[in-house]
Amino acid sequence: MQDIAAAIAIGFGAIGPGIGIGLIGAKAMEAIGRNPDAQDKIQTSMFLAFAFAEAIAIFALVLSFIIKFVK
Amino acid sequence: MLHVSVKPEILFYISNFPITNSYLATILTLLIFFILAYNYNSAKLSGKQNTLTTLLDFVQEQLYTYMKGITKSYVTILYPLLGSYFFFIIISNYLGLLPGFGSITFKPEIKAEHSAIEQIQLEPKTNENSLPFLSEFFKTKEDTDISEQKNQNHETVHLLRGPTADLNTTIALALISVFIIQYYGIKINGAKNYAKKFFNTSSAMMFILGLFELMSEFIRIISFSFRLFGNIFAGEVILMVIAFLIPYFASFPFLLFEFFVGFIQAFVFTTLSAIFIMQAIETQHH
Repeated sequence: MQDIAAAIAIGFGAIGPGIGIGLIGAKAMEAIGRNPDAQDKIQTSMFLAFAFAEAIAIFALVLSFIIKFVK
Repeated sequence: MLHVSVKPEILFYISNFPITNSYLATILTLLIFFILAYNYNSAKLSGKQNTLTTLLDFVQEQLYTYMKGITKSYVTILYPLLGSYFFFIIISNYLGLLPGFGSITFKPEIKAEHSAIEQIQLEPKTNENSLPFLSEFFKTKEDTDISEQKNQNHETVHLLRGPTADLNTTIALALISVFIIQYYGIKINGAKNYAKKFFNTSSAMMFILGLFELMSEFIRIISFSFRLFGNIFAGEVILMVIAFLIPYFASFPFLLFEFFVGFIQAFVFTTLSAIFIMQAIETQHH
């Protein structure tokens, strides 16, 4: 039962951040395409937003580790 | 075999103070920090320029310019803390990727100094009323828990573990960060003005928003600590699992990814701390 719970936790938990990171990347590329001179700034902000969105996926991952490896 | 443990395993005790495997690695991190700082300082004082000073100068200049862009005029006060965060976290993250971390295991015989009450509970309870062979059927959960607890003293334990792959380290860093945010908010704005941000009595909705702000200050502790812990710990587990499945060079792409993730997490922790401190210093005037 623990295995199933861990799999469901990370399975559902990775849907949202996946979509979010895709949107961040798309908007960043659009902005760079519009204004190639600001590439450094846009790239830095993109990485920052990427870390925020990934943190949510990591919360789900840590929870699934706790479910699976802590009796 | 694969041994993954969310908790850091205790290696030995120094008179009731437990030394875990990630604590050893933290001491190593501090040693590396001191050696780098000492060499940099002695090279600078004697006027030479070797590769270490050039490299550290380059990294520091980039970081300082970036922090100056965020913190503007407070960079001279804040850069020591933020620079320390960056260097500590990045050295910790990269230390956990060196060979030997997570691969050297041993079975310690922990002579833990339990209190007297715990020692009484560690002995399994015998049920004298039942027949000997029937005691197997009447084992309660406590009996199995106690025998598991006794067996836990002989599990295999990793000798070293990345310092930031331990929730204790990351919670400590997060607590320091949130405390510094409040401290600079109160110091520069004054306690009354800063408290007005949370207990905004101009209208009912602003009051509830203020309470949400207060709650989000506490949520930041969890967010900071779990972001750093989750990324590094998940990386360690992935490396261990892939090395367990395919023994030889298959974990190499994941190792490269872990280098990237280690840098990004150090960068994000520092940048987020800087941004939140600036938010606390320059409170918005509605």
